[in-house]
Amino acid sequence: MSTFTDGAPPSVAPEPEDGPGPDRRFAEGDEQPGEQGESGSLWLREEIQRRIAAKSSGTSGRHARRGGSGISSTTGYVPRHSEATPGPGAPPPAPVGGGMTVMPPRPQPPAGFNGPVPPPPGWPDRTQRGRAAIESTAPAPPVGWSGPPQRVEPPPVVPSPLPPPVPPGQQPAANGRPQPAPPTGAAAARLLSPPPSTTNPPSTPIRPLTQLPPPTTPPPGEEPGAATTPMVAHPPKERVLWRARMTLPQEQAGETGAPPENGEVVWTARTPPTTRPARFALPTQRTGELEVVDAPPDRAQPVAAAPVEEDDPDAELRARRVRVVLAERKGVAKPVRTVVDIQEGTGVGELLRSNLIGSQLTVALRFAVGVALTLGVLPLLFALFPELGRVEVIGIRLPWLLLGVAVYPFLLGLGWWHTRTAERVEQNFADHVQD
Amino acid sequence: METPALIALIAIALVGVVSAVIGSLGVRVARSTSDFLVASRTVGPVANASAISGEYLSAASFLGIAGIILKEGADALWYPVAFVAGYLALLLFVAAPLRRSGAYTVPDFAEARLHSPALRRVCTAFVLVIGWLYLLPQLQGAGLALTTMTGLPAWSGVAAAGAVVLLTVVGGGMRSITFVQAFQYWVKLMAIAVPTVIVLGLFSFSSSSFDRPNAPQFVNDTTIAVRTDAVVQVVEPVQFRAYGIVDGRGVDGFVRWEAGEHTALKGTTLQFSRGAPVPVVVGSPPTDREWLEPMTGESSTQLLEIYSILLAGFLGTMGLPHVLVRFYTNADGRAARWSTVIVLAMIGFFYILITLVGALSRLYAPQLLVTGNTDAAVLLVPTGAFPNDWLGWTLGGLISAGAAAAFLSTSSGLVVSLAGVLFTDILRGKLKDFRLAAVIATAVPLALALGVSRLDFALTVPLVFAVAAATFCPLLVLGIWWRGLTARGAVAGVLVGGILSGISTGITMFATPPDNLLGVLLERPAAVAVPLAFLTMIIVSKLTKAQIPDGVDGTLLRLHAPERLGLSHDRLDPRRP
Repeated sequence: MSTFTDGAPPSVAPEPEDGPGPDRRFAEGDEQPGEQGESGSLWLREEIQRRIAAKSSGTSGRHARRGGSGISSTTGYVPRHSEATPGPGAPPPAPVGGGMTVMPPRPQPPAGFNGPVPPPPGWPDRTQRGRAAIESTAPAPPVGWSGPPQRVEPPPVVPSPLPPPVPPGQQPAANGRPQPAPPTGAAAARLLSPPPSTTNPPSTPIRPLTQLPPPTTPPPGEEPGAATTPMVAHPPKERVLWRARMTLPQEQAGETGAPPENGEVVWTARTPPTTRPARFALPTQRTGELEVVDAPPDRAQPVAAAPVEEDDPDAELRARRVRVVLAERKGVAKPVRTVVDIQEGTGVGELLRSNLIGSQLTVALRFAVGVALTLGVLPLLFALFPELGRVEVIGIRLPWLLLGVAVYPFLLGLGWWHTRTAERVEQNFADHVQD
Repeated sequence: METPALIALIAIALVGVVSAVIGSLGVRVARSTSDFLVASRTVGPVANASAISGEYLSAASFLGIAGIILKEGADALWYPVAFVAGYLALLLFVAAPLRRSGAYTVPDFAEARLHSPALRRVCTAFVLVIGWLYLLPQLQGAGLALTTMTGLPAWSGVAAAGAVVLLTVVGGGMRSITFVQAFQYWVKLMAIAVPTVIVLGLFSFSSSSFDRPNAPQFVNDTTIAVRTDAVVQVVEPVQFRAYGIVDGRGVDGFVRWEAGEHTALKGTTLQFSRGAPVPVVVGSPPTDREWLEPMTGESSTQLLEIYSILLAGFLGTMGLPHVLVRFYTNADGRAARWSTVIVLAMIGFFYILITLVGALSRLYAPQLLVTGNTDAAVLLVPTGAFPNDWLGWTLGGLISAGAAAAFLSTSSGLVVSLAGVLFTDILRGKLKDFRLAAVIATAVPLALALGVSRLDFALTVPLVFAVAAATFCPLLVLGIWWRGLTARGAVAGVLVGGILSGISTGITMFATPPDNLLGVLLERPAAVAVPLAFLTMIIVSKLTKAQIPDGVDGTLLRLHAPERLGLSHDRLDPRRP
C-alpha cells in the first residue's frame, strides 16, 4: 500500500468504514459539507469555478496563507501537526526572531520513515514523476514542517484510493490574525488526493505577489489543494515564531527559478537554499510578504533568499495553474502518516506495532492462563478431596454442576470479556494511529 | 420394520432431503470460485455462528459424548468442557488475526505468513490427514445411527450419508453449506432439547435416583446381541437367558451370574428382564454411585488422561480444518471475534443439554453398558423412557433426525474444507475441479469407513484433536504472535508433532495399546506431542533466524491492526497491492 503524504487531508467524504478519524480532521468545522458527496466532473467544474472565484475574492483554500487564527476558518480542517507542535522528526525550531539567512535543512522525515510516500505536492519529485497535479502554490514550505518526508524518489503512485495524509503543517497556531474563510472549493480541493499524472497541468492560481493583500486580508486566489503548510506565511513582525520555522519571506523572496515547465510540477514554492527543494504547497496568500508563491519550480536548487514580495511576472503564469483533481478518492482507508509509519517500519511505527501485538498477546495470555488454571485445578481438587465429589448443591452433585452446567456460561463470559478487551486495545491503537 | 424404526427412518430421510434442498438453493447463487469457497464473505455473524456451531457439533458431540457420559460418569464431563474451552482458545489466539490474514485455508495462511511452498505442502498433507481422520467416525456414526434405529445394515447408513454430503457440497460449495449448517444446528438443538426436557420431566416425577449403590437397571425386557467379545463386571447376582458362549461354556437358557467378572463371546444373545441389574463392561464404574463421582479410576493415570484430554481439546480445536475454514466467511476480524463468542454460547448451551441426556441415559438406556458400545445412548433414551408408546417413538424419530443432521453437517463441512484444500493446493484451479475435489474428499474416508471396523468415538475424536493440537496449533499460535518464526522451524514443528501424534493414532486405532502408562500416553498423545511440537518450532526457528521472511512486520501488522486502518486484504483479491 502506498500513501500520499503531500499533506492533503483525506478525502472530503468520509467513507463508511472510516472511523471517527477523518471526521476529526473536520473538527474545526467543515464548511463544505455539500461538496463531500460530489464526485466526478460535475464537482470538478464547480471546483474550478470556486477556485477562480476564491482567487479573486482573496480567500484561499487550504493552502491559503493565513495567520494562525484563521486556519480553522479557512479550511475547517485541522492538520495533524502544526507549526507549534510539529510531528516527530521535525527539525528543531530555529532561533526565534532570528533572521534565517540560510534556510535550515529541509525537515527530515520522521525517524525511520522510509516508506514510499509521495512528496508533498510541488515537490520536484513529482514533476519527475509527471505528477502534474501538484499544487502550484509558490511559497516554500516552512522549514519546520515535519510533514511529508523528504524523499528523493517518487513514491509509488497510487492514484485514487489513498488520500494524502493530513499535511502536518496545516494548523498554524491561531494568533489573532483574522483569517478569511477559505472558499469552499479550496477546502474540498485540498482534501482530494493528488491526481495521477493524467490530470491536466494544474494551473495554480498563484497569486502574484503584487496581488497579495496586506497580511490581514484574506489570502488571494486559490491554489489547488495540495499539501501545503498553511501556517507558513505570517508577517515576520507579527509572527516571529513562525518565521523561525519557516522559510522567511525575505529569504523566499526573489525566488526566480526557472519557469515552470509545461504542465509539470506546478509547485513553485521556493525552496530554502540548503534544503531539498521544499515544494510544499503553502497557502499562497497568507500574507503579502509571504507570497513566495512566485517561486518557480526550483526543485533541486537552493533558492536564494528573496523577498517574498517580489513581484514575479512569472508568478502570474504559475498562479494560473489550478490543481485539478479528476478522480475522487475511493478506497477503503485513509492512511495517515502514522499508518504509513507503521507500515513502513519506521521507529515510531515499529514501536506502535509491537505495542499493539504485545498488548493483544498479553490480553490473550492472561485469559488463557486464567482458563487453564481454573479448569486445570479442578481435576486435582477432585482427586485430592474425594469428598468434594459428594457435595450436593441444589440437588446436583458438585462435579456435575460445575463441569456440566456452570463451566459453559463461565467460558462464554470469558470469551465475551476478552473480545471487549481486545477491541479496546485495537481501538486505542487505531486512535493513536489516526490521531 | 417396526414402527419406531420406520419413524426414525422417515425422520432421517426428511433431514437429508431438506438439507439437500437448502443446499441446492445455494447453487444458483454460487457462481464464482470465491463464492464457492468462502461464501463470498457475505454471511452475517449470527448466521455464521449458527453454521459454525452446526458444523462443530458433530456426531461425536451429539452421540459420542452422551455415550461416554453414560459409561464413565463424571469423568467424562471433561470432554465437552475441553472442546468448548478449545473454542475459547481459538477466540483468544486465532480468530481475528486469521481472518485478517485473508487466507482461505490453513496452508494458505502458512504460505502467506512464511512464504514457503514446502510448508504449504506439509500443511496440506496434514489437513487431509486430520480431515479424513475426523470424517471416518462421522460416517461410521451414521451407520451406527441407522443400524440402531432401523436395523438396516451399517454400510447403508455410511453410504447414504456419503451420498447426501457429496450432493450438497458439489451442489453449492460453501455457501449452500453455510445455510445447511445453520439449519442443521437448529435441528440438532431441537432434537436434543425437546426429548431431554420431556424425559427430564419424567425423571423428576419418578422416584428414580442416581445415588444408588447398585448397578443400573434395565427398564424393559432387553435383548442384547453381542457383536464383539464382552467382559463384564457384575455387582449383584443377575439371572438371565443366554444363547451362545458365556464364561467359556456354551449355554442355551437361563444363566446366573454371581458378583465378579464374566465374559460373553461374540455371537451370543443375552436376554434380560425388566428391573434386572445391568452388568457393566469392565473398566467402567459398575454402580451408579461410583458413576456419579469423579476420579473413579486409578488416580495417576486418570489425571494424566484428563489433562491430556484438556490439552488436546483446548489446543486442538483451532487446528481443525473445518472449523478454521469457517472463519473466512466472516466479514472482518471483528465479526470473526463476535461470531466466535456467539458460537461459544450456542455450543455451550448444546452441551449442557447433552450432559443432561447423557446422565438420563444411565437410567433409560443402560443396556448399552453390557457391550460398552454406548455411542447410541442418546438414540435410545426416548424409547427407554416411554416404551411402546407413540411419544417414545416420536421423540426417538426426532433424535434420529438430530443425529442425521449432526452427521451431515460435520461431514459436509469437512468435505468442503478438504475439497477446498485439495482444490487450491493440489488441483489448482478451476471451478470444475472443486467438484472433483469434493468427490475425492468424500470417497477416501467413505472407503475407509466401509472397510475399517467401527471405532469408539471416545477414542478417535480426541485423537484427532490431539493431531490437530500438535500440528496446526503451534503453527497458528506462533505464526500469528511470534515474529521470529521461520519456515524451516514451522516445517520441523509440524512434522514432529504430526508424526508423534500420528503414530499414536495409528496404534490406537489399528492395534491395542498396552495397559500401562505408555499405553495411556499412546492413547492420549497430546500431553507429549504438543509441547514437543512447540519446542521444536521455537528451537529450529531460532537456529534458522536468518530466514525470517522479509516484510514480516508488515504481515504481522496486517494480522493485528484493526480493519478501519485499511491494511488487510483478501488473498484472492485481484486488486491487492
